[in-house]
Amino acid sequence: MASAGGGDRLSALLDVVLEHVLSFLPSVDAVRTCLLAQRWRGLWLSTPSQRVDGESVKECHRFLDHMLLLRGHAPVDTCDLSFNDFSKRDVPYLNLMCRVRVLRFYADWRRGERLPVGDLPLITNTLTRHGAALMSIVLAVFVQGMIQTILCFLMDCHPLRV
Amino acid sequence: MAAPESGDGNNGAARMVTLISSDNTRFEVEAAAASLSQTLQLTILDGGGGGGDGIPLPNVDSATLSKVLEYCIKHAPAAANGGAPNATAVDRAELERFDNEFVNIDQSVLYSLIMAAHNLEIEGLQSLVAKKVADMIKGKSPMEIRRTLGFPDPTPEEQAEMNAHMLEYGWAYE
Repeated sequence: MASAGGGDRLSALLDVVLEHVLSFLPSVDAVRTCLLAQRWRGLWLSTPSQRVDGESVKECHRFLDHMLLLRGHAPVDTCDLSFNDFSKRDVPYLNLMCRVRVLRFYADWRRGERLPVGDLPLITNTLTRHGAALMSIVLAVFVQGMIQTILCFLMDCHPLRV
Repeated sequence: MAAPESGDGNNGAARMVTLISSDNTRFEVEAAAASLSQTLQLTILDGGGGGGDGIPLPNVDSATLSKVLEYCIKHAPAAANGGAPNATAVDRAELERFDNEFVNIDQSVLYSLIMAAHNLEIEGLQSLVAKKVADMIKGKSPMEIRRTLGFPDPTPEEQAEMNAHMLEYGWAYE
């Protein structure tokens, strides 16, 4: 059982320590910590990482919309996105979330649909505009649970096939 | 502290340093283990902490320091190997098993460790304890999180505030 005052001791830690804790959480859990105490209200907003795992962008879009809106221009270092289902119409969402240094994106591509690889350099354009210095994007595309393609976009924004 | 398991010093014996906790307990430990702390590393490189001197750590009590050093001693060999790229799967599994058991501790000890890991800048330990707290939060309702982390039950005012917040943050509870 929790010792008395444990929560207060935790709340007394520095922002940077609590943000480190939140960085290990999926974004949905990080957001929920704002209910713990006044101290925690805005912490999730300044956590430099986002993690969203979901069935599909469609299923998560309300969450994504609110999160992106509230975060505004708060800097994000790392963004991990994982969807079981992802298709070409979801690419704009990816663009919204990619003002980051590292984007790791895992998706199970719809069978039969052409991979919108031609559209994806849009992502790197956005990153360039925002001046990410050490950008790397790892895009793992899964088809039926198997890694099909891994694309690495490096500083010069040329996709490299691995 | 226990005798070093292996010495890689020039004369066969590993260099030892002494750390002094806030309650004046002295801990003698291999320099390689203590150097996992970024905070201590420079002092140790400068030759500090040896002989009768010792490095005082006014922010860390002896119970916490002993726990911190347990972690450092276990992780020092792998760290010396540069993150052990050639470590065997068995070694890695053993470290993982150690880590899991290491954070299976009383909450007050865990919170002290978080502070100590931060002050001493021991990267691996910082992540290990932060991840442990994150695991205590993951997938729970606000009330469950409060109880798990040791927050007192909310007063009626706090409860009302929580309810209002939950309405506002409905999108995070779908």
